[in-house]
Amino acid sequence: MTVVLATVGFHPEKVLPALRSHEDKEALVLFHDTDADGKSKRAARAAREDARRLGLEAELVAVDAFDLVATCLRLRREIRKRSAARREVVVSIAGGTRVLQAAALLAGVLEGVRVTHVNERTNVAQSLPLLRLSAAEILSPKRRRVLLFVRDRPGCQARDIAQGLSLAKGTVSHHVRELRRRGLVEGEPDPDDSRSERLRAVPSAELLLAE
Amino acid sequence: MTVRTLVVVAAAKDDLAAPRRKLGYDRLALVAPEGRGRALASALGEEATVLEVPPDDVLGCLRAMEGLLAGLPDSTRVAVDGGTGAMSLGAVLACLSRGVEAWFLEHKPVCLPVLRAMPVAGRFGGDELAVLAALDGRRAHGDLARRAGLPLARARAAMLSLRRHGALGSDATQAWPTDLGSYYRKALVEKPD
Repeated sequence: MTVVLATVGFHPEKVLPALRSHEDKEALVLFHDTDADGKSKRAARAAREDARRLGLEAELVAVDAFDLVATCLRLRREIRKRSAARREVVVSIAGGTRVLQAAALLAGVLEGVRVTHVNERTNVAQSLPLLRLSAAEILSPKRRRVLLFVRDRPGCQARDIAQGLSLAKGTVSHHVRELRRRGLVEGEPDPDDSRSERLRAVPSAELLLAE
Repeated sequence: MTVRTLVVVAAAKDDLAAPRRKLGYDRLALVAPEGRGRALASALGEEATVLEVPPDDVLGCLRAMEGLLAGLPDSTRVAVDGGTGAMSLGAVLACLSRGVEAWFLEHKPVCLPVLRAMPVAGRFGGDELAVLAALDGRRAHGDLARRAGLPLARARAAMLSLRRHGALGSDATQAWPTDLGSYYRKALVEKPD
């Protein structure tokens, strides 16, 4: 049985093609924005009524559709919960802000589930390419420890990491360089020592640490 | 010195100034809907490489964007929150595929993690790959099984799996690649890992 996790914007009718494209669907979870005027929530409610007419129960989940990291993590939690219950999960991008749509795509990619997109013009649902992506491939256990250290101690320096994790300076330099290359860590010059940098993890690093 | 390239995905109503103000760059590229490239480029007021993409086709945008990014340096950044929904999603997929920074700049600027992912389904098994490789157009099931070098029952199981992934269409007698299937074929068969 399949659980469809769908994003919804202001157009509830976009959700129907997403549902029709999946056989043996069992439940629908609609992710909508917590917008002040409630337009997205009204659309999600209307989509829930449409789903009920198809004999499908739907649950609404409100998210900040402009917060990529929090929304992606919320979607990943839902995917894991449903997968743990031995359900096939499909993420369907059927509207919402660009950030909400990207969060849904990334959640699907990182959890390894199918992602479909409902075309804005034709209203036809199309599967998106599966991307082989695993945070474990990107973050080796050692690199993950370095990233966690930096996340928990913003402003730390490479020597702090070496000392705190009992790693060689060269090893730390290598991992920090790789983390920077992947946009997970940023550095700024240390005002007290121009040869050193103060490091911090970027917000989206959480997406890879949530394994 | 590293030349920083900024790729801006945009449609007619988008603010072209904001991404240029927020992200530093030396060179500019503009991704625009088909038929709108020249008008948008002139609105920029500076020199830019222009790529026109099909505005309602995620896979078409993805293919075009992958081609563009393949020719740009590692220091490239892409502002992905402009354009149509299909353009934006295609741009995000291309960034994930090519290992390029994808930036959302509306509200709180945020960059997706730079992940080098291949558009390859790690879950595709040997039978599915063989069927995909043999599926160069509309084929009868038996013919497809022969071309894939598989017994018919195994080929049918692989077809079913590919159909579930949206890569293959089929009826009682024939199978054919969908747009997504053609994309996979290009990635998996023509350019193997």
